[in-house]
Amino acid sequence: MNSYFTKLPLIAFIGLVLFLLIFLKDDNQELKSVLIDKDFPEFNLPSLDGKNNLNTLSFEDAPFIINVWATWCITCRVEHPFLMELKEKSIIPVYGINYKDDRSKALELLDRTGDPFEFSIFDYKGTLAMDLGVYGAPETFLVGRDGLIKVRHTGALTPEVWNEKFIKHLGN
Amino acid sequence: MKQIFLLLTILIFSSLHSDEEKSLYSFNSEEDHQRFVNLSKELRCPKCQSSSLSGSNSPISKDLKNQIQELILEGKTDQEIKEYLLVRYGDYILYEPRFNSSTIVLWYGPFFILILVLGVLFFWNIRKNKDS
Amino acid sequence: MIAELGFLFLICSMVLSFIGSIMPIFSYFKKSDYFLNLVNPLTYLVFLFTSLSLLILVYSFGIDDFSIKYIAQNSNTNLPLYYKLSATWGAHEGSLLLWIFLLCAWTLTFSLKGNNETKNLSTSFLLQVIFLFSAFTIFTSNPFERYLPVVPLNGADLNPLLQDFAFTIHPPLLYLGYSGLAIPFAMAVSALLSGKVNQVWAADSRPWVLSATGFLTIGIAIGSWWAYYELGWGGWWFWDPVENAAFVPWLIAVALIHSLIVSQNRGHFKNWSILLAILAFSMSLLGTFLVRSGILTSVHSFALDPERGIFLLGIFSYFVLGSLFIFSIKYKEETKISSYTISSKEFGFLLNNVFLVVLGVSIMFGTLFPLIYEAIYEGDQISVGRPYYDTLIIPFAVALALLQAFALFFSWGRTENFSFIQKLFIYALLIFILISIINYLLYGELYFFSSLSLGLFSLILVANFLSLRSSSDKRNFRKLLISKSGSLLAHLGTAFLVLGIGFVSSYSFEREVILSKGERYDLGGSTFIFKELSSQREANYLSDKADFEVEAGGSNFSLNTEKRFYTSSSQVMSEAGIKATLMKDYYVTIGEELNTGFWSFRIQVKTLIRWIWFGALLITIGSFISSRSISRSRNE
Repeated sequence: MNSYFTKLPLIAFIGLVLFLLIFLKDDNQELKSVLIDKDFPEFNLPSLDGKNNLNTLSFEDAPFIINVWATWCITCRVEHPFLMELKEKSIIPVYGINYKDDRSKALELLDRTGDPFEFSIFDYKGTLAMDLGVYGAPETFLVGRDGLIKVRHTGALTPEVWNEKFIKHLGN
Repeated sequence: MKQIFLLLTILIFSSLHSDEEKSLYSFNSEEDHQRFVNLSKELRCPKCQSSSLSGSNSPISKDLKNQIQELILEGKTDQEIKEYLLVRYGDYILYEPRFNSSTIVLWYGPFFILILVLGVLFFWNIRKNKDS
Repeated sequence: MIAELGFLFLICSMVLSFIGSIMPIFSYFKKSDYFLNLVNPLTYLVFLFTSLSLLILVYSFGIDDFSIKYIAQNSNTNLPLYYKLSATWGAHEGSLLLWIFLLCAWTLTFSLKGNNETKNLSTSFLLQVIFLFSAFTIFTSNPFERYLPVVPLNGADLNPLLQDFAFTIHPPLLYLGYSGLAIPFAMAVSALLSGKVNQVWAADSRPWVLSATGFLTIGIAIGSWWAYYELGWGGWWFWDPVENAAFVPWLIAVALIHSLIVSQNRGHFKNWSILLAILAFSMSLLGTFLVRSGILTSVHSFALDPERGIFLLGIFSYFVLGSLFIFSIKYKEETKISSYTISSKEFGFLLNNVFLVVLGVSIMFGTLFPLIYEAIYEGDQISVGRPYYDTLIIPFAVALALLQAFALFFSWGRTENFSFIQKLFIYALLIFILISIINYLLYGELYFFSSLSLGLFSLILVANFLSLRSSSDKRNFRKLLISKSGSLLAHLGTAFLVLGIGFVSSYSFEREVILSKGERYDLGGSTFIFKELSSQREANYLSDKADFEVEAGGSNFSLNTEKRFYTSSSQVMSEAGIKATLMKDYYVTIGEELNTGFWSFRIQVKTLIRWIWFGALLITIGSFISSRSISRSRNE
């Protein structure tokens, strides 16, 4: 009985060390989205250019990308070329959510640097973004072939991230 | 007559500019306001390293606080407000872990261990003293 | 040039501490004490070299040597001198060097003043700790690394949050506590190895645990006080992972102190004390690991990469698993000396330990739970925060307070006389009612938590004084008072701590408001008037300052709150305006200018918050007094 008890603390701490070791490998700082495998939230908002009213039916057939961006978001400039590439090579449709931004500034930015979006939703109050669980910009979502959200990435969308997280869902 | 009217207007105006008016977030009752303060302390800022909505200056915290204010004004209960945020941001946003089968160890564990240890010690001691 | 010298000195320290670490092996095989005795001169040298290394770093901060990467990242020419110097521990590398230096200081003190049979062996273990941490610093966290050939003209600046007086003393005091726990750890392991786990060992260890606990207490308290006035939200404890990482070792250390009392006086719980000594330092190391590995998100954690985390985990594993392994093979069952019933002092102390250790382990578990959850549920994230910990700690705190009150009257072995209960209850109730009346007259309303804390306060107060009187005869009263003054003070400290916490929870008011110049706001029975807004420029920041006048009861006073824009780092900070009186704190934090002339403010009134830190201060002083009086009496 005694030898069992004296070994117990040792065993407990070995367990702790192993557990911590496993966790050191994981370098993920991103908050996991609760919307994975759920429908894209309903919305009714104007387009950025003010010409239309948009809702979930405005999206073309899945799969497609939704990108949350704004003129005040510096990191968005970093991913802009890659988004342009997605459009120019017709890889996948990209829709934008202009998040809590100034309409004219946003239009001017797209005009100047290029518009990778089929259209941008003007989410002035950030209500759609909040329904998506967005907490900053840029964020990118992938809606899969089944119409459900498959991926949520926070931070710039780079080729590496694309290959690592997004590509595997394109075939679904 | 005109003077009475003027006086009344002034009185009404000054009472309108009450303390509740000066609040950054205004509510219909003191209880509601306190609910708001408590909720913003119980909910976590999704963007910050480790901060409640109350203790954070980030834009998302402000947005969420505004949303909570709106929901309170709409008459939603605390539970409904937490649900609203849970559906969008997940369990992470609650500083108080929900009580379910996955958190039962967390909520009951300490007391279970405590009772167990205390029980063992009491019985052990009584038995030891009986023997001697 | 001088930075390289600093690095070289650190290497010398590492090498010498390594030599000291292996001395026991030589002594064992050569069957001669000569090698083991060498640890003492080696300790002096290690201390010398580490001090010089740290001094050089501090000096380099003082002269703005931005060729050193760490200094460029954490300082700036516009920083006032005292902040430049304390910026030494502003981030990971420098604070690590500080930690090692403080451990060297402890080791030196132990080498000079420790008087026990296994002193040299213990010293060699301490040198092991110094060696491994020095190696970690040298290989992964070198504070002397250079930015060559391009030397920045100016540094990035010290994080504005840290440009504060409390920051100059908080890390040193806290680290003295953390590293100080290495001493009882080393003593425990060497007692195990030499087969000398006895009452002498227990008596020798206790002063060291008390001193370390004293530093840890004041270190944590200053951290809490600083967070309170610096962060602007008026909170004094957040159950942040890093706070928990300091609180848990504290709980275990307090348990150890009490367990050692029994071990020393009655010979019971010796093996348990050994385990606690190992556990206390383990929790200290775990805390170091959690803070510096980046594994937990916290306002406090140093931003680090996982490679360093692995090294730290290795150090943790080595000491903790190593010592527990030695425990498992060198464990000797205690010979039955005396027995005790459940109404004995021994059992009282045992319960104390159960409550403290279960609480400590639970808090650590809660801190790690989000990681466990994420591992099991494939990336789903959960938070464990204030609501959980508050619920957890209250029953434990109540149990501990009640236990303290009763156990003070227990006798060793078996308590015969239970008459104290009546006296205790009556006096405590009287005091409780008296103060409750005052409470009601002052604040108009009574609340559950404040009343609960008041009840416990009354109980602890009465119990401590009554037990003094009852356990002595007139002649020895003076001697008794002197020997018990430390624990008396510390216990009184816990009473004030509990009272402060109860009242702050029940009688705090806060509101976010929008005011323009001249407008006033009523809160918590006082009136806050926004008088004036002015803008000014300081050495390294621009500021908008709002002046307030507060009408509180009979008296008026002013306070001001500032919004600072730090020019070099472009960071914006709010400095709260706080007026502390004996009973209340008046607290205003400036927000933003929402409309020209209209500013947002967070106004708060908090009751008895200072009594929390006052209580902690009493605990600290009590710990040091006890430590001193024990080591004095050991030497007689």
